[in-house]
Amino acid sequence: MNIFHNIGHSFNFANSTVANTWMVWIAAIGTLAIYSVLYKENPVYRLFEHIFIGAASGYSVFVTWTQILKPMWWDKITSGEAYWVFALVGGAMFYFIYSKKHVWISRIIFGTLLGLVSGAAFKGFAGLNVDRIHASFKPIAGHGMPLSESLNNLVFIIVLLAVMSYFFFSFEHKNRVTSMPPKLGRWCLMFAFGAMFGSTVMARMSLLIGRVYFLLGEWLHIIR
Amino acid sequence: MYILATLKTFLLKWFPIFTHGMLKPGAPWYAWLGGIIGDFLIIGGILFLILRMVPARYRKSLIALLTFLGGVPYALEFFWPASKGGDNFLSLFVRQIGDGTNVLYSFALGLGIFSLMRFHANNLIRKRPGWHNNLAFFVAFFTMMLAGFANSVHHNAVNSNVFDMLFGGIVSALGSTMFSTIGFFIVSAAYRAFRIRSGEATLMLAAAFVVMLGQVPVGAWMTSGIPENGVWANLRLENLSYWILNQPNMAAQRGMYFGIEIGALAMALRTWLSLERGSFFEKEL
Repeated sequence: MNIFHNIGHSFNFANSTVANTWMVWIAAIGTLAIYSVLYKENPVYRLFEHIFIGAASGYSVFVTWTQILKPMWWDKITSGEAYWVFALVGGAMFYFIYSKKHVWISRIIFGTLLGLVSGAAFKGFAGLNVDRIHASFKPIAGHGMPLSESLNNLVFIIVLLAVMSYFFFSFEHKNRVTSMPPKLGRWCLMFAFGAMFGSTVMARMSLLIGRVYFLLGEWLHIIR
Repeated sequence: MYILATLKTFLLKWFPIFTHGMLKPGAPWYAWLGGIIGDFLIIGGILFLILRMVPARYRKSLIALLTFLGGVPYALEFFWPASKGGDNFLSLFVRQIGDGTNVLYSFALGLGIFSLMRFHANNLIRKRPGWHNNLAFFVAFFTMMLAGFANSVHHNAVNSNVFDMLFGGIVSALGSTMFSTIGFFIVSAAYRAFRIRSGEATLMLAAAFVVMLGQVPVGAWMTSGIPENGVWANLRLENLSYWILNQPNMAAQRGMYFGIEIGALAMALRTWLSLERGSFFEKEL
């Protein structure tokens, strides 16, 4: 009886400590299973990969309903804005992609969506980039401007112009004058790619450190 | 706006029969669900019958017209002079279209879920090797989804803890683990990319090296002998890393971004005006 009582206690999810203990164990086993692929491909990794994809897909359905469909569609219909029913008809048209005979109907809604996205992109381009272009051409001299700021701004403008010239394909870069800026642009690009690479690796490393910290701290209580 | 208002009035007069005419706010959810399904079947059925009558030679033109009309409100709203508040008479309509686009995107998510389900169900039914993984997919999918909905509909201690347990134990933990494994693959790829063969590769290696060292304590320790203030402080690795990321790297990224944005604008215009070529746009309908 005592054993059953203890088992019952272990599944008492009303107690947040019990649920937290389960969460830590599930996460720890899952983390080790996923890292096992670093040694070699194995069935345990495959199993947890499928569990992750399944759970992430289920979560995305839940989030799509609670954050988009419920407030923007269901709540509007049930509060009297009945014309939102037409969105369901439009949404259903996507699924004609599975019909060989009527696949063209899906293209109507895909086309409309492409048009909507293109329109938004067109509007977004002007809205975003006018400010960004303005902010990119910084002053290189001015009243009371420190030398360090002037130099920084000069570097910024030279790199920006050089990189842009690299993507300028309207005429061939034949002579020295027209070939120098793109060449400098390529060097600047490689430098930036290196910096982006370093930054990305460090972001991944911080995730790795986070997982190791979780295993040694929250799970095994070796470090605090 | 007059045309749109007239169209809205016309559609509401004749269509959503159940949701507009027979149900009132406050009715039970299952009544609304039945009403929505009923309206969907009626409206969808009529639209399907109309579309079936469209001759094959006009289908492309119809799609091109609807693609164009989809982008028109955004272009009109952008070019129409704004009032003092920054909006014009189309701004509210464009925001509603934005909501509608999000709703359409959400319905399209079902395509991906359906494809996943079909793939895993096929493997499971045919008991192909590794079918237990496909079963695990379904168990994880429905468990996570139901836990989310249960917590959302009946929020209590059990539902909340079970949802947190599944989210924290599987989605969040395995997500960050998956992404952190990419770090190992990036490093092995870097070995091939960074072998010093040319000036450009050397420059890339140097930038990556400084940025990485600048973000870890050992980097700060290596240059800790340099004073923290004054001109020489710029040579401390953490400062050098910060400067590289915020000056030359930012400028280069912005240069690339301008190029990408101009390309995206040209692409958007080609798509909007149905000038794009390729299988989607040229295939016989």
